[in-house]
Amino acid sequence: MSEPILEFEDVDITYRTTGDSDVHAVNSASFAIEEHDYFGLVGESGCGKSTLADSIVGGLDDNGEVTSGKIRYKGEEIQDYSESEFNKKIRWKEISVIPQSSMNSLDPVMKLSDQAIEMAKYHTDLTKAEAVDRLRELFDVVGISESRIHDYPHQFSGGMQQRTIIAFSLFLQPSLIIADEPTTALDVIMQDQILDYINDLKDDWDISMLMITHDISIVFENCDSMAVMHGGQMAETGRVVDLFDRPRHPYAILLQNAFPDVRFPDRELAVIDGHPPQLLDDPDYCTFADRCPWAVEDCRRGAPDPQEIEGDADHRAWCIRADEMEDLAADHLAPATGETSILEEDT
Amino acid sequence: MPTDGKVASVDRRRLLQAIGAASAVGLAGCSGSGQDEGTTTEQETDTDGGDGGGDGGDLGERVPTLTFQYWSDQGPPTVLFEETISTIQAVTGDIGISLETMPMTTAEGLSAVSNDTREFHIAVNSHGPSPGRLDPNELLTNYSIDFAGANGDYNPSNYASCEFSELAEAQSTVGDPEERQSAVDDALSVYSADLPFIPTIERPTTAAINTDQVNSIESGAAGLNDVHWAALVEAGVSTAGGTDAIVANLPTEHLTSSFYPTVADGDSMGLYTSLTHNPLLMYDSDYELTPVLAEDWETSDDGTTTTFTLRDATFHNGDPVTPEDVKWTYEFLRDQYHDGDYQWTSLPESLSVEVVDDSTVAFNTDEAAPTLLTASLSIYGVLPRDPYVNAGIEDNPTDFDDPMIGAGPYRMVSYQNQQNMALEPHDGHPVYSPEADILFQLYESTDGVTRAFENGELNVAVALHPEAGQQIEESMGGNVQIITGVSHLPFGVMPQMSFAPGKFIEFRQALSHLIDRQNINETYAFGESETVTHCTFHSSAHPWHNEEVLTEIAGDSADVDQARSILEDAGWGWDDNGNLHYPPDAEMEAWPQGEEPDPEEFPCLG
Amino acid sequence: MSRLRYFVRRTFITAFLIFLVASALFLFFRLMPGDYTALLTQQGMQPDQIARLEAKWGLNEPMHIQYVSYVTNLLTADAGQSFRHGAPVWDLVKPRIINSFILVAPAITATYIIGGTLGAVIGKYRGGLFEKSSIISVSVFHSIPDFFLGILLIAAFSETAGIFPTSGMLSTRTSILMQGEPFYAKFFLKEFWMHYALPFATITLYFMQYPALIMRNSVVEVSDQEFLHYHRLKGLPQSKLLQKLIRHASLPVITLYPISLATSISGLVLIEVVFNWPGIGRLLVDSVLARDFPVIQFVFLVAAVWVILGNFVVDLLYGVIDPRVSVEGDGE
Repeated sequence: MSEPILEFEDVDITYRTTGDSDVHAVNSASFAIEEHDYFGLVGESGCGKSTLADSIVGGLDDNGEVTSGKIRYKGEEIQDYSESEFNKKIRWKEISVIPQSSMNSLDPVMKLSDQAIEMAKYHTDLTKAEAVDRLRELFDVVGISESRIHDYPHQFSGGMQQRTIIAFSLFLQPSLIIADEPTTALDVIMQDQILDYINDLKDDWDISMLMITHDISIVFENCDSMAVMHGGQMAETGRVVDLFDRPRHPYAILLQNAFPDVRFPDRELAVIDGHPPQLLDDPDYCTFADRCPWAVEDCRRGAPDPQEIEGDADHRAWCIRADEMEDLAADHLAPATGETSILEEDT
Repeated sequence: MPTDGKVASVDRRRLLQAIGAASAVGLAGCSGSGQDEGTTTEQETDTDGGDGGGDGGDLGERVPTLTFQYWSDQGPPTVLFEETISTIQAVTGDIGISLETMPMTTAEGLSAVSNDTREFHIAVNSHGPSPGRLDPNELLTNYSIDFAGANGDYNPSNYASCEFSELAEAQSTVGDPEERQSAVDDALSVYSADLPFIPTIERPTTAAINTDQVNSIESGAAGLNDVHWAALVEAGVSTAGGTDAIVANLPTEHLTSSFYPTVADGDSMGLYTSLTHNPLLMYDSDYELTPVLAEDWETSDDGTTTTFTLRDATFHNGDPVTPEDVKWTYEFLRDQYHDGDYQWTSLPESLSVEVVDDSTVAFNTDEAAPTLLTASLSIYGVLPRDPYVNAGIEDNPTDFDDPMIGAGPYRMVSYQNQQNMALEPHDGHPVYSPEADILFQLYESTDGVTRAFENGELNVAVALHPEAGQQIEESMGGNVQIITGVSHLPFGVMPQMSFAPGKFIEFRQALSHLIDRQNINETYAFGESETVTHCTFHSSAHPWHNEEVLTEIAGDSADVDQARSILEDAGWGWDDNGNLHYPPDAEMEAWPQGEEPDPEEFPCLG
Repeated sequence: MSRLRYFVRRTFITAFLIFLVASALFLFFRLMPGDYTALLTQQGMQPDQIARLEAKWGLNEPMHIQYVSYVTNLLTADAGQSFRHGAPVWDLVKPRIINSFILVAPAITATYIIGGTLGAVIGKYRGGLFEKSSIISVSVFHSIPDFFLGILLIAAFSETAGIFPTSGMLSTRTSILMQGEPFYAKFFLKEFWMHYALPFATITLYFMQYPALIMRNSVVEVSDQEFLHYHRLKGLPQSKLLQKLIRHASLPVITLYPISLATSISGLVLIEVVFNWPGIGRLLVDSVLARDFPVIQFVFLVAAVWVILGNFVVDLLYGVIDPRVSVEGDGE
């Protein structure tokens, strides 16, 4: 396989605050997204996944900073890029973003066509007319009537705005799209539609995707690879099939149980007790330890290192007991072993 | 007892006044807040009912909280009104009454008195020192019984006395000046004994001259003010130190119209008459009639004919002042007053003017016209006939292109309505020969005038607050001449005589004794004015003032004991808490509210 | 509903409002105690003369007759004659409006430009001494009564430093010389600007609080808006982002501007009195004290129309600068 399109290597991201301690939002994050891969990043809100996404396009707030580690895009280290370098080399031409709150992301006082013209102006040589034509094509792609390209955002429904955002993200044919909770604000039917569009892109456009969500089932259904984060730390990464079948981090196991599964409609949903810790110190412990039913003393003695999961390529879990997990969590994994999953039949 | 709240209220208004904003405050509260502020004082509970309760039957109703109204928009005089109330307030506890204040704009206050609305017991106002009041007739008329009551006519204290009214009427027909003086004295003697107006101190006039720029002048009793500029022209005022013109202020009631005969404001007429449109005779800086365009005059014994001998004088256009001009002017003004649209040119309807020869003109009336010289001819200047007729004054008396030509010592060279006016000396004047141009600038706030004067933007400042005179003297030292004078009418208090307690003479006398005149003079006028201790509406400088016939009404300082004994002698009393009560069975109204005095009780009305 | 129909409808409503205000003014000043003739009494005018004046001005007619003739006159653009001046009201008011306008329009505009900029800066760089001292300063300037602020400036810059004159628009001498020149002729004189400086500074300082604080809050609020973040992620340059921030943050401030301009006419009264500025506010004070009804009514009407039109303009303007303010939304 070729070089990953995006690679995180031991990345720490810290927010400076006016108080004494800084917030360590992301700690030692490592994962890689392969070319043409759909990569899902799952975690509770506040776990650092959006911060992580922002850091890829230099979108951290003024007080946020990548303090150590490396972020490589197509082999090039980008973690120390300045605003103008991001503008010149990364943003939109290479990586575009489908932001979390599409309803508020479109400039309310600009016509959509003007917003497209603006994108063209700063990144391409397209004339205004060409830019508008391009938007027209993209509207067609995402299923919005071309006649509405001169509308203002407020004249669109939420779903239409989300599709517009998708159209915008494709505007410069980027190599990677970061979709941050692309469906959270939408109703279920609209969620499916949007996800269909996103899935269609995979075949029609030669792109990779980093999809950030708190809904692990979306990742299972739409992605090739994935990572699970908890409390600013990585929990588990690997192929979706591997994580689905053989989750080895307690959080990933419990998380899977916390979402309804069409395959096992009778299963009771699990609840993960407790909350992730406030990341005011550099966590030198497993941030899941307090919530983990299988935690041992050692879990609090140092941040866990990744454990390769035998038999699976690129499958790693950041748990010192990963090896024992199959036995320890047998109850939770049982249904999966007892029945045949739809997914397995497909693969 | 007076409360701190009330004192504070008065002081705060004074502060506002001092920073020149009172007029606007009056505006802001034109019908609402200003009034509320004054009236929301404590209402002492009327525990004693109508007839004195358990205090032994010899006490009448309790005297209510007395409301003192005053004009809130008068500039320096408003400060005087407030200080007057303050001095009374200082002793109300000793006399067993309480008071509250009710600021009103002048227009509101005048309407309330004219309609006898009885919203307040005492009006702390003043008689405006308009030039026409240098003759007593106007105020004597105003205090007549015809003007009392709720009829829209302004009798300042709703004073209703047949005896006085008949005497006031009588003096207006006496032709011979000496006989008239005695008739006026008779009327004022009754007036003085009845005390419808309680004078306090003389109304001071304060003006300042920057002596670096303008040579100092001599001035008479009148001093120098915005209406009476005689001192300036008599002195032949000149500039000094290379200054090219006198720059003086005027209050905003002036410069409402350049059009002399129809100026809407009687005071403005005084300004023009003093400077640009001289009459045959005029009041000088001591309030004495002095010949101007006429050399002298003679009135017949019966008072129906006055013959003037004219001087060699010229109008501003160079034409001589002829008897024909005089005749035309006054007959035209007479017609316009009686049948036209001029409000201020009050001349007898029967007046006819006769050209006797080239320099002699005779004024004839059917009956004696004692005020013709003192209140009419001395107030309205002579106009050149031809320029005014050519300008269309006869066809359109209130709307024509005013040539602005008179025979005064100054010629008008520029006029901007409500802004400024430029005058230059007219060298064809037979008496006065001023040297310097005068530029007049209108000022809204008296404090603005003080600032502009101190800053050298004005070199003559008039109508100053007496305090400003002190302040200017301190800040400018030897480079300033402060001119203080006395107006022809004093300040005072007008008890409303249509109802209790103002209707009782003993109350008015007691009130007079409660006023600390010396204190008012010190605080308001820095001792520069004088106390008035006899009842009259004339100042000591007024040409008709005669102290011999007047009743003394108080000393220089307050005398509470005297006030108490006057009330006690008249049957008033105090309850156990020291509250003042009327005598038993006291009649509370001189006539019912909303009505005029009853002819049954006032036979002269029948 | 079309924009045109909206415009027509708003115009109609505005006209109706103005009519209501005119009627209310008529009634209000008729109910106000005291009248012009009362003051004439004080100066010694006799009752028969007053009666004649009242007849001449129609003041003795029944109220409804007076009202009808007032409205009829207004419709024929006749504001009547001043009692005091005997001159057409419009002739008195027009130069005053110009004088007020040349003071207040630039001053309020400067207030919004300077205050808005200040607000933007303290909103962008929050925290720290500069923000605190700026907020305190503008608040202090606004909490001092405007006329008193004027007096303080006079004390400091005229009486103490001797730099600026205390009063007027020009010195009396120059004003007389300039008579008859068009109103803008004085703009070429240094003297005018010396007279202009202090009242201008007073208004600017006094009204600074609104735009500064509103702009500050608005910048803070807009900075957190998602679309700005999205613009950044799209790779727009910093300068463009700032421009967008300012554009969005300015919306409420822009809305306030015409209203401030309109309402400042009332704040102007005392400032004009202090600086002896021959504007509409001073005329109003004089006329109210003199109960010169035709002038008062007309000046208040002008002020009301000014405010109503200001709001009208804001409504129309807002539709242009912010497409979210929907035209249809207004029509029931």
